[in-house]
Amino acid sequence: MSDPRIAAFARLASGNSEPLRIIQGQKTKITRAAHGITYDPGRDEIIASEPLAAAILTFPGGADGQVAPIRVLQGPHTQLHRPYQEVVDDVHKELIVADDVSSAILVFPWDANGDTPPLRVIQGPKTGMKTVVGVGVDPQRNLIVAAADRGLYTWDHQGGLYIFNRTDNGNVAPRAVIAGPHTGISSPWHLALYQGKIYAAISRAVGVGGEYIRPYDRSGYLPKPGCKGPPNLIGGPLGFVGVWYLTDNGDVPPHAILKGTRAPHPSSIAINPAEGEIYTGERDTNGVYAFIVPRFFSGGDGFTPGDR
Amino acid sequence: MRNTNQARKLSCAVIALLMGSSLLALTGTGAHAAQHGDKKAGTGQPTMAQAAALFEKIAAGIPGGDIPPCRNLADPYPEFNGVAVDPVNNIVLFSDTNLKSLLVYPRTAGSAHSGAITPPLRQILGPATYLSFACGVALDPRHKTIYAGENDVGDDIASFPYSANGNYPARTLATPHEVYGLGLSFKLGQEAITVEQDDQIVFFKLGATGAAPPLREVRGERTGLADPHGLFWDDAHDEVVVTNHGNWARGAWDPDYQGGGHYQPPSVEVFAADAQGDAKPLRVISGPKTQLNWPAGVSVAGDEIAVANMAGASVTIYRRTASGDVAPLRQLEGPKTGITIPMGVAFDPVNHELWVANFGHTGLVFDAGANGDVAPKRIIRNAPAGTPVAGFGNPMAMAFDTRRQELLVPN
Repeated sequence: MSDPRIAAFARLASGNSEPLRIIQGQKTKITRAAHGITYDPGRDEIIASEPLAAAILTFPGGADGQVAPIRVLQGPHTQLHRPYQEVVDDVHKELIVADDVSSAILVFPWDANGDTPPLRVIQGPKTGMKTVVGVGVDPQRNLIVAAADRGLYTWDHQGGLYIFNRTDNGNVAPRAVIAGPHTGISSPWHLALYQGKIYAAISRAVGVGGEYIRPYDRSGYLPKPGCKGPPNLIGGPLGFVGVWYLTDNGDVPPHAILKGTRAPHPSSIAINPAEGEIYTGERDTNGVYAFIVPRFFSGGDGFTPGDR
Repeated sequence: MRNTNQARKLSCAVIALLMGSSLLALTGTGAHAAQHGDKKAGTGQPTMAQAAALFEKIAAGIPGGDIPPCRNLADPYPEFNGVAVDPVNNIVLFSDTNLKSLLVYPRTAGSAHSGAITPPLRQILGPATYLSFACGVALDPRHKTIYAGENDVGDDIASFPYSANGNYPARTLATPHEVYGLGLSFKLGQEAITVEQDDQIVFFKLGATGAAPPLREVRGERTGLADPHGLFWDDAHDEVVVTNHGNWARGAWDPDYQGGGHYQPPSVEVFAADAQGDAKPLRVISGPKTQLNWPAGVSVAGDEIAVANMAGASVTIYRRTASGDVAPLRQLEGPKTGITIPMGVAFDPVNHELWVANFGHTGLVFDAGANGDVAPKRIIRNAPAGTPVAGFGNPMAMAFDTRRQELLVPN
């Protein structure tokens, strides 16, 4: 946001802690609020999306300070508009990017650099997606899951989780859509996949009145017709982190949930199955939270994820 | 703990009870079913508020729930961002993006030596204030009015009387998303903002509220605007001064644009106060000699422009009429200054002082002509000296580095 950076915190850091290191400065090409970040352990790289430059930046995993990215994916052939979450498929050596403004999933070679066109693009009315903000890949099951903030065909045009074949290309219908009033999904944001499950941050970032209406559209020219003034976006119904199966389809409630006033509107998510931990960040409290929930990963106590 | 089948049965029962059995059709599975859920109000579908209420009941039966976090990273103190000073009424104002507040101090508050918190006169904080991630701030000494522009979550300029305190209801004006800088013209009776994502300067009538439309805007390829940040309205010279980070992506707001994004050098641009449309700037300060490194807040007094050179950990000062690749006249930089991440800067031309909002816990006051690695005259602290700065700015993305066991969080 106002202090653009990538900050690295120790996993066990708690309270008011300083970052261990910060990537920041003109040379880094970072812009306001990278709307997606991923870590590729295989190549020890940090990959960040930069909406205000329509770029994807890659840094060495241990980068610190005012360092230049080792790759900059940017330019008209990339079809990047406003990239949000990205993920690396280390089996098929691909980089998959959710693009919000173009409502698309863009798939690049994982080492794409410069003005490189995507290998595949999932985009169009058959996808049912509008404003794609989150993405995950399961290379074993050959699936891609996208979180769309809005839906063309969903209840009240609310967002949903859209499941595609990994190799889908063009204007294709999803294999499945998890959306509807039972799901609780409104303003979904980022997601993670692990052993057949989807872990999704559902921010439910609606205003006090229960409606999320920005006064201007993104072009910023004039207030929207009928706009009476700015909405007060602090408050609203509690968001949550929800867990679904990759085999789910339709208006299905989450199978497990993290929901409470401590993290009222979670938007980011990272998982650490080895320690049974889920991490999420939140706008109202401007904080980062760690939850120990091993049964969300390994089953037991009424929630048996298994490998469906 | 109930299992998911029980949760689903409960949800169906709740739906049926609250909405009538017709809604059960929505519980069918598949994209096909989801697509057929596209019906408008009046067809028996729940409103957002109804859906929120019924999901509360559904969620109560789902494993998990309100589990306390084992760790929580957050800064309990304000973190300064923007600054404005009113030497007539002797107050200084800071925006705080962490607790989402505005803090008002006596102009002479602070100490060069004390490590204690400087008590504010007032702190505007709470849901009625509309404050979310306010960055740019400005003061109207004549009408004793505070103005704050929201960079994230909120899309507004919130205004308050000087006397506002606590959860004071804001007067609000709707704006585009991602406002950073804010300036006022008492000569033209206008207020102006920079908008990061749209690379624009937007002008409104001073004191406008609600959904009042802009009077005009500066926007287009000739303007050179690229992720504009700080804004200072220089009424004395009929100019508007803006800083740019240099990031540009029309595609970020225009889905039909196919030209891709690009980076350009950081800059300080000066426009005529009545500029409109795709106007060329009168002057541009840019280039390697300028040492600009993510220029943020900006202020003008007399014949000088001061820039909060955020990633340069410095305040760079240029001649007001400078243009091109020029070195600063002088700069505040070094460990004695206490400047680490300067976000806001404000000249006090009456008392010949220069205020710096250091992102985090200090507001620093220097002589207006200070140069080099000099200690501030006074320090306003919003936290005890040495308090860490977590420094989050809406942590909306995150990754886990499995090799280093680190959480990666962008701002």
